[in-house]
Amino acid sequence: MTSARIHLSALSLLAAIFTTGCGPTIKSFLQPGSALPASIAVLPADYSPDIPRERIDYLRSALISELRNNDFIVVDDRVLNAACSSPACPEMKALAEKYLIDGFVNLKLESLSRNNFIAGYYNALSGELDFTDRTGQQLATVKHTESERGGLLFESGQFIQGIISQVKNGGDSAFDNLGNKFARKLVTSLPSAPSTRPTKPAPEGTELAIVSSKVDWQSPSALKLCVTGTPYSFAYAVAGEDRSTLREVTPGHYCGAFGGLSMVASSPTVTVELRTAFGNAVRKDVSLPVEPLCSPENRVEISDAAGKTFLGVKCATVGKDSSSSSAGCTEILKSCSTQKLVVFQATSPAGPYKRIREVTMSRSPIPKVSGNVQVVFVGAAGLPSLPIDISEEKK
Amino acid sequence: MRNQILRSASINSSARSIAVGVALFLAGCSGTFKSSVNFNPSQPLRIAVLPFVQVDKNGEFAQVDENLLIDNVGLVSSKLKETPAKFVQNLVQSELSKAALDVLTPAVVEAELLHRGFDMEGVQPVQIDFKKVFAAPPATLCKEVLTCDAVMYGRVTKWDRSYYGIQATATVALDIKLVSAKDGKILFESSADDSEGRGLSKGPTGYSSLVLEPLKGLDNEIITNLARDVVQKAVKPIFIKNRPEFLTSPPPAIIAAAHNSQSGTISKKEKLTVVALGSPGHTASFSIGSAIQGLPMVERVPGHYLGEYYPLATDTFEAQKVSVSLRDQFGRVTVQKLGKVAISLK
Repeated sequence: MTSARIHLSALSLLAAIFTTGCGPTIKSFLQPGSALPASIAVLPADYSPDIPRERIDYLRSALISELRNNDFIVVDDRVLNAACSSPACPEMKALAEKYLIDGFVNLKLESLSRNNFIAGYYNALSGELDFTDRTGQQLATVKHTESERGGLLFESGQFIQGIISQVKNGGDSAFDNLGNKFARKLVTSLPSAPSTRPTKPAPEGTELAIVSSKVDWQSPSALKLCVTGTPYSFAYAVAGEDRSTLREVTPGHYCGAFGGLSMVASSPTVTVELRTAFGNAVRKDVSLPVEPLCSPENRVEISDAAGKTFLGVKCATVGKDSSSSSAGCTEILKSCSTQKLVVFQATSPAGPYKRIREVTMSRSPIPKVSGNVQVVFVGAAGLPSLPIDISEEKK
Repeated sequence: MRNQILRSASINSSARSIAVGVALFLAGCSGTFKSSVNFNPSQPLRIAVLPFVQVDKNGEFAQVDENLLIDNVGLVSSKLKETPAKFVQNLVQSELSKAALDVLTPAVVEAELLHRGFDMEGVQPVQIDFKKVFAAPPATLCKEVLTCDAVMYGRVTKWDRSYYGIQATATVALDIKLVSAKDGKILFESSADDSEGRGLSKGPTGYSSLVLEPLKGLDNEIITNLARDVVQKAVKPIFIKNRPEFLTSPPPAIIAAAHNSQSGTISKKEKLTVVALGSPGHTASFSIGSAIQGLPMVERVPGHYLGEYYPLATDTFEAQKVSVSLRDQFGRVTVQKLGKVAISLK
């Protein structure tokens, strides 16, 4: 019984090996003379329990790369992830209208087998690519099994090559190569390639523009950055390597609100980027209208008179090193001049600190407070400084 | 007993000699790969891969039909559907998906170049004029034609299949260069040259294989597989997983992170404050689900990061988790999802 099963599996393996010499099976439902649409979306992966998820993700990514290499313009995955409720994407029609997608591609993986039998190996990957138009009508299907064989058994005429190929088959790269070839074969077998050459109109979905941008204070501590441009795009505020999303508040109008301090700390200028679902982008630099932060750390002058405490900021540094430079002090005084200071008190140095007073900074006195006291200066831009310890023993 | 030991030592010695011989032989087959990386590969630079060209020994652009007569013999080889330059360009574009670079869609690059006068005058169907493209400064290409930070040039310097009776050799060599549009600096440069043989060098197992294997070695599949390997090795230095710095410094660490919404619901009039304690000197940001991403955090004191989210009137999300990211100078990112409380905006 066992022997019969072994024979059967060996026969099926051999049959598979010999039938894989055949090329892909292509069915075209295109009208004569018509081409496949250029702007397409690759539907989300339908994970099969038989094939590991990471393999399916790799193959999907390889397929997208191949489609792009063959002049297709593939819509960004974020659009599909946001719009599609299932891998079949019943929202296809709405998606196509909003993002001007003309076709959908679905990759169905049927099987993946890796057989390593010391003297040789045989790997195979089977699947089907379905190409439909925006209404779901089938345009083409390509069914293919990509296989690779090697090792001493299959490289019987080249002893060293057999060993090399057997060793190479050990790692993940063997699957990657098989997957890349599989994706390439599927895409290059499609009945006709799209054309994005100027003789035909460029896809409308890739036209993009930033019309205007605006940045102002939403509140004393929050900056609001808005940009107007092509609707249904992705908008970002890019500061250094940070990429913050701007939200489309009305079609074509994108905004985001940021803690002013965080934004200023990242960069004095921010680049606004608008990107279509097809990956092309436009950029514009925007300056942030931020006043310097009030940070008077070691320039705070504390004096007591008539049972009251006076706080101020002066240019000479206060404390042990009073001779240090006063460079930039004018800006500090300016930024700290018009706003307020907030006094916090705690029973122990570790806190918790409780807000006890809020006064303007024009040398307004605060009642003498004992214990652990910290003050926060709020500068002209409404941004708070780091807490400054003014406890008795620190004076 | 002594004889047995001597025999065993002799066998060991012979086996070692064979192993060393095979290793040397295989090492002799390894190609030449040179590269220099002059930027941080984790930087999400937006790049345009310009059309690759094939050049001859003098460095002049060449358009050679690399298909051989044998490519018409179905059982041995098949024709390459595109030019070697286009084939290699496609491989590079696919491999770049493993890097942090943001690669412009090839069809958009081609269409923009053709629309902006980089075509061969009077030629139908329209074709890109490689000389014009290569002569244009990267700044012009990135600012006036495409929106990008850098451009990638590629040249296929060798694409040969040679037959010597008892040996066939396929050779592929290429140069890749990534140039900044900002200052013209070469950000990445890589040269790769490798060959693959069939016949005498790969241990023929009989007279028939000595004759047949070199013919099989002319198969287009061998040179395309070699090109795949060569491209992988040429582009590998900018894969983010291959940074040598990874080995010498610890990755960023988030020790603790929290937000100020105890109930999990915030109103549109209040802000959400997120704090994190982690390794100092890094770049921090936080996200709320997939709706609000990459809000910058500021390092108030070393290792203490603070960020705020201010809702817009149109913002809306339900039960989204907050996650804090800390990124170091090499682009390694540590992400921590915060607590059990998901945030809803009401």
